[in-house]
Amino acid sequence: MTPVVKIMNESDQGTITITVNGEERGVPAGLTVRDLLAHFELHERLVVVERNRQIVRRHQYGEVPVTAGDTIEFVHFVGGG
Amino acid sequence: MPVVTKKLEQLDEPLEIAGHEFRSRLIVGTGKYKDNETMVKAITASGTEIVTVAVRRVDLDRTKEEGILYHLDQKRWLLLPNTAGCYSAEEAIRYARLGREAGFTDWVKLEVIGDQDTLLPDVEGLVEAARTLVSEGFKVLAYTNEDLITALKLEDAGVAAVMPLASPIGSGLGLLNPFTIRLIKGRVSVPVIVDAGVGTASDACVTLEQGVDGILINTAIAEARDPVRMAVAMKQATEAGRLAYLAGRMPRREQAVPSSPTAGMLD
Repeated sequence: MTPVVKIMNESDQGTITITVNGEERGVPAGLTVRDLLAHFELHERLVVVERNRQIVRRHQYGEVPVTAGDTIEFVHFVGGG
Repeated sequence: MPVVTKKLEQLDEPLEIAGHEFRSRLIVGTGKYKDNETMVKAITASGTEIVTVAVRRVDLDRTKEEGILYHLDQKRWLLLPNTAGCYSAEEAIRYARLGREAGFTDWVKLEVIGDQDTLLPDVEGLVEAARTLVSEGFKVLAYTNEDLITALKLEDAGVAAVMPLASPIGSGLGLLNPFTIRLIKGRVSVPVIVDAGVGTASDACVTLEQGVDGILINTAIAEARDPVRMAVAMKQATEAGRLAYLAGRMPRREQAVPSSPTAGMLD
């Protein structure tokens, strides 16, 4: 959370707005999905990424770009029956 | 003394689902535990080999410890992602695909819920989602009504198991309709695993006595005052019910029959 706020306050022109888990967030431009996971301090192995309703496979994390207006979902397993 | 030493393995066959063999006929859920430590202790005590999990959004503001995968050893338990909370085939398919990616498994416990109050299945959506997921290579275990026709449709769709409910999810009302459960078991060739509604050990025992292949329990263990004790009780009740079924119960009679010889009484 902290790094995101900082970036937004800088009103850096290198910031893009995306929707992450239903919330609008500012993130640096030019990130890949792998960078985005690191940005939110998420463990690659424990999280699944959906970008614009398409699952991003783990081996593609380093290649798939995050672009302005993207809708990203980070999901994981929780307790359930 | 040697009489009681026969191990369960010699008294029962393994449960086979989609070509995999399991010694335990009890599947447990991981929801509603007060903490992860209790959850892991309870599922360990239950002797289960399959545990269900749900797919949900990561909480971006406190992510560190929350994911359950961190606490579950996948070498020890087969993770069975569910599609709980999905109200359409499309939504359930989306969650199933996410679960496959999250768990490195193509097993899914398919739920398509039709009504918020009862959490009863939407059977149309269920059959539709089952067909799609089977075609995508999923091993589908389908949570369904205790309805024979739906079970037959699901079998036709290619599911790995049908999971008729004992009573509504989280109700703890026990097995409300043993007759229809037996009917389903008598007609489908895939495993029948009763899912939902078990309240206490006797419910699990009675359910297995119907001849079904297995049972899935979550709330009854998680919401017990002592989940670990209840997990052991459920393990034993599942085994007891299964063995009683295999042993074949005596006939019911409307009159007493003496257990001791009537001959040889004193004058």
